[in-house]
Amino acid sequence: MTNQTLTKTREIRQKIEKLEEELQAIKWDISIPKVLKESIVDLTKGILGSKFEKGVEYQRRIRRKKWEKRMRKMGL
Amino acid sequence: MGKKNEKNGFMRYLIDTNIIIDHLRIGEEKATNFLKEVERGKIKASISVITEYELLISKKIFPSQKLIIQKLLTLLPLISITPSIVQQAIKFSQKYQLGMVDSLIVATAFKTKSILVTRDKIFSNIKEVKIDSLGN
Repeated sequence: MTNQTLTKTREIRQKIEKLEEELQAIKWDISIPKVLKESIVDLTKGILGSKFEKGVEYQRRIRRKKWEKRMRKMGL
Repeated sequence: MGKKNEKNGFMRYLIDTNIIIDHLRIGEEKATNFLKEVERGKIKASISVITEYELLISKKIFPSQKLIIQKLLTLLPLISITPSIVQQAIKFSQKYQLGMVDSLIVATAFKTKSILVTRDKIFSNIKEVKIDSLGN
């Protein structure tokens, strides 16, 4: 593959990536239909209950610290 | 209608997983009110595909609950991880010593020019992205 072909390939990929981002931006403009009779937010409010653990996703760094601790225990 | 940004029209928000968890667990007032504003079309907000994954991966959530949570997610456009988001995530990860997921989340907010709505304190020292913890 020549340098020219590589440059061309890179340019095409960059154009596609730009298009991907433009497509993502369109998503913001799709508004929620106003015909919904019940509020989805009301429907889902507290659905999991307070006993549901917040989980590692709540503050991801907790997970990382646990992981680091485990690695240290393993001597890594 | 809605909150406006002087430069780009409507302000955009990227909602982090912990805000949705607060709403789903206890219907925490500020998190729920924020989502209501989104539902009413007064605020433009989205989530990262990472948040969708984190919300639905839990084994402790029943299938019936997952279906309802998926309904909630239809209110929010899903932002995919693009190569430019990855490039930005690498920069943030190196600058602020963030983990992979955290750096991808904050890079998504940066690249989409959004305010990151999160209660994770790890983002509090990020200078490039505006953070909103909803008063917490």
